Amino acid sequence: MERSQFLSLLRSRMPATSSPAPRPMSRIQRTLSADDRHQLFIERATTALTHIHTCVDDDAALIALESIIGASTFVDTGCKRYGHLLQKLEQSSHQDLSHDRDVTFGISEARFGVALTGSCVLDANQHRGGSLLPPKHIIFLDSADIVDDLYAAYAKVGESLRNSRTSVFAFHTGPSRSADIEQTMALGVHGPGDVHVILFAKQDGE
Amino acid sequence: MTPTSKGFKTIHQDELTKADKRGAVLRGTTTVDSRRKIACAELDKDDPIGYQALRTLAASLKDNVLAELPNFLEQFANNAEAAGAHVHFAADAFDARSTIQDIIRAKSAKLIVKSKSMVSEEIDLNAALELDGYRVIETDLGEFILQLEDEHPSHIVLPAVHKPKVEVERMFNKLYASPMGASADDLAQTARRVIRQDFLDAEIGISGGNFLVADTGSIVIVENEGNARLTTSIPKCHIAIVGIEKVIPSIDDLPVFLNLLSRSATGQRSTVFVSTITGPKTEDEPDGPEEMHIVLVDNRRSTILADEKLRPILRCIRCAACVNTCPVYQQIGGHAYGWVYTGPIGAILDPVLLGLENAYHLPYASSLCGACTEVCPVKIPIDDILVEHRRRAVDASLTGPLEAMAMSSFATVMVNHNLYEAATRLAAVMPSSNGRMTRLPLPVITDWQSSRDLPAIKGPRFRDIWKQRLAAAGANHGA
Repeated sequence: MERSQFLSLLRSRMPATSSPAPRPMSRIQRTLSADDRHQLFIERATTALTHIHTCVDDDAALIALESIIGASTFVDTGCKRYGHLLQKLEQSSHQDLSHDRDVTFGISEARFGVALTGSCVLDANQHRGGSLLPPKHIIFLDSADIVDDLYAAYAKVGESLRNSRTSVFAFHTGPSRSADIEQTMALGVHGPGDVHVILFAKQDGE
Repeated sequence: MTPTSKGFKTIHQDELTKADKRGAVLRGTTTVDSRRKIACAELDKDDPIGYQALRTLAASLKDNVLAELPNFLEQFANNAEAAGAHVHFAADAFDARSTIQDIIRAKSAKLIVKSKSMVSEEIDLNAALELDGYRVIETDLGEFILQLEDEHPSHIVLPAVHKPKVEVERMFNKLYASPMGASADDLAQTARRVIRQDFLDAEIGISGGNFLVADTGSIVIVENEGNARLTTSIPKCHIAIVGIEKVIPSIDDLPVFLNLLSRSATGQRSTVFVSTITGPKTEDEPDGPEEMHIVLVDNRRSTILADEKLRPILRCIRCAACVNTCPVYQQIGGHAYGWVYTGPIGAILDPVLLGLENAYHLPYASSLCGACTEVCPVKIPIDDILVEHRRRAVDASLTGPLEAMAMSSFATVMVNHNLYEAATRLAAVMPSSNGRMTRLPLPVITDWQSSRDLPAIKGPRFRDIWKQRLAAAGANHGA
């Protein structure tokens, strides 16, 4: 149906008595300390079955990466901030991002994290397929980029969308899971079944 | 799917005889219901305003939108189009199907992957696309299993909740040579392997949508498997099909609904994937669909909107908390309801979407215990609306002359002193055994009685005891 026709039909069906409901109450902002935020993120992400690897610097991150990836292959979904780390890896990296490439790990970086839900927020500036098709996923996250809760997170998403369009903001919280077979949790049913977060946390005083 | 709600009275009896299915439904719903309780209670600590205030806020946000729905839809459509999406409006199921068929026919497509969409079930989309010669693959694990057996979902969040695991083992054994006794993990891996190639080959991805965000023109999809992310990322063309009631005003309001939806639906703080999709891929982005269509479906929702008593139904965010907590659903399962939306939400929604004459039995599939209303994250007064539908069914003489007669006799007795006296005296001498009255000598309600024993009425009557006490008290005072 034509849009104008649809909307005018809908308008004609609105009851005359229709009055707007009271405006919603204003929301209280939460403020956690950086340390609490960091700890809460680790706790909540771990509950959601994410493996957290806390690193203080690049060297520590490289050691963590080596141990996670082992002899497997990986694909870089377009890491900018941490791309230099991937170049130091000896494991074979696929530059070819075509979707049916058979690789074990996708490696992405999070725009930010959410402490209360233990989520990492990815966006479509990185290759979507690379974060979804491989059976395992590694995400870089800077502890300084963790926000308290979903209110703060979507405030950031809204701000970004008002500035310029990004086609997807995807909140990832742990491995792909399904409970469709008699409520028994199965991991990795379509997306990655094994998720690691390399969490950068500067040591005190730095 | 073709509704069978009119045959509820015989179908639900039949469903009650299927012991394996009943066991799976009862285990599934009670497990999720207990997870929901814990996760929602945690909101008192986790959310700045707490669980109950959050429900009130969500309800008022939805009411705000519904009061000005045409304006919010227009704002959404403008912003989605500015982001590069094509927005279509569909008045009914036929309109929605043909809109989607037209989009697809214009391409040289053979294979369509789908992620979960109850609206697509509502408008019977798959059947229409299959008639057009396309292969249509449901990618949600539960829906995939059901599609293999040509079954329909029995639950809006847990589509295959009625399916015992051993049946899946048997089916996967036959089709994919998966061993009997395979674990849930192994079965899921088999499905992953089978569906993966379809994701890579499909030209079209069809998804539903949990929210339409008016101020950004985004659609939001909530899921756990990643199949919706794949459906909306890999094929070159993405079609989202969404009911018009799914609009929320602003992206700032989204967390209110996400907090309530994931915790109420599955007891998770957040589902594994939450995608906010705003238009097709941009020029700079490496992958994603080049074309995006959003089909907004009315299909009698505007009838609900126009009806003040029923309007709160449109607040629904399809979490199925009411379904999981419903003692009736837990026993009869979703297939008894005979259509897409099942449980308490189905019992209030289906009578409008199908016409009351085709679904008037459903509002009676309730003990009016109110558990559904208590758990609804957007505070839909479900039990009030069940009663409202019953009233309308009786007014329209749909329930047959006997119920109308029974109700009017009840009314006559209740407002007439002498009749009430006589009736209550009679009740006290009704035959009973083991403290239960198995059968009242009233032919009108034989059917109703066949599944119910009432506790035997203990005489003497309260009115008589009260009279005696008053008399005794009066005598004492007089002394």
